[in-house]
Amino acid sequence: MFCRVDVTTLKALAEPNRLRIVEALSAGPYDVGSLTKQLDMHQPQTSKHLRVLSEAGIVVAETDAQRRVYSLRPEPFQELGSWLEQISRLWGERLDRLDAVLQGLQEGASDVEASHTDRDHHQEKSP
Amino acid sequence: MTQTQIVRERGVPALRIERTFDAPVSLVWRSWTDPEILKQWWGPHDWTMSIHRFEPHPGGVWVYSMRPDAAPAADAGDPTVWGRADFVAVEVERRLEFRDRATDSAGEPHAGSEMTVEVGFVDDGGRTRLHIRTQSESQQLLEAAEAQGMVEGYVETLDRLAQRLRAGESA
Repeated sequence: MFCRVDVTTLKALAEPNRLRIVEALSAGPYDVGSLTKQLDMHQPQTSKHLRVLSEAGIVVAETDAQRRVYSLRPEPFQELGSWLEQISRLWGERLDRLDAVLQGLQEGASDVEASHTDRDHHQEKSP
Repeated sequence: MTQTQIVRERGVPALRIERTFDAPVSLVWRSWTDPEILKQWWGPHDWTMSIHRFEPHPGGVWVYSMRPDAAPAADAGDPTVWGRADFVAVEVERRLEFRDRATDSAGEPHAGSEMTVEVGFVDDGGRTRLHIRTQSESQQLLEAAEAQGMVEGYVETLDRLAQRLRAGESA
């Protein structure tokens, strides 16, 4: 079957400053001010990137005593991280089935001969 | 006899699989290119696959659908899954390459489902070694991003983050 990779997540992350924000947030939650200072950006720029990340479901904001504190949502990263696991399981099962089909085809070839022999044998026995 | 080796490519969501089958190359090739055989193993267990179009030549199209054998719940809607692959390379008993993706019943692709699959067929003393490389659309996005000089080590970053986040969750 298919393993879907969330294109929204990838597109949101395919921008260097947004990726830097995500890296910074992996250390823990921050508000816009601390992120702006830490990453040496301008606050409107930080806010704009945080909005994109929030719309893509990558970060979530919580209001804590007047401050908006941003943190990462684990789900999009788990999805990306599990792609390889999913795809290797998919191929493992698919190739097991191919293996069985190949064995069947090869045994099938000799089964045909065997059943011919059986039938001949029965015919000999029948009156 | 089978041997499976799964190698994850460094830093990109691509996967290489090597596996040896106890069958000659001609038969393994037929199993990939004869739709009657292909449909017996391509789809998951307990699903029935139908192949509606199958044109194994470069530029050719392979359209298929899969239905679960179990009857769906009355209110579940149509469980049929559709897919469409485009053949990029077809070299008899040597190499196949195609782009595979899930679609709706009208053939419209589902975003993010595309995978490029490359299959190499190698004779190994009467047995067949398959080399399969699968890469997701995300890597194509990644390559596009890299071509624009955007991000380096992007997927490694994601992997690292995923690990941290998972560690955080299980803690």
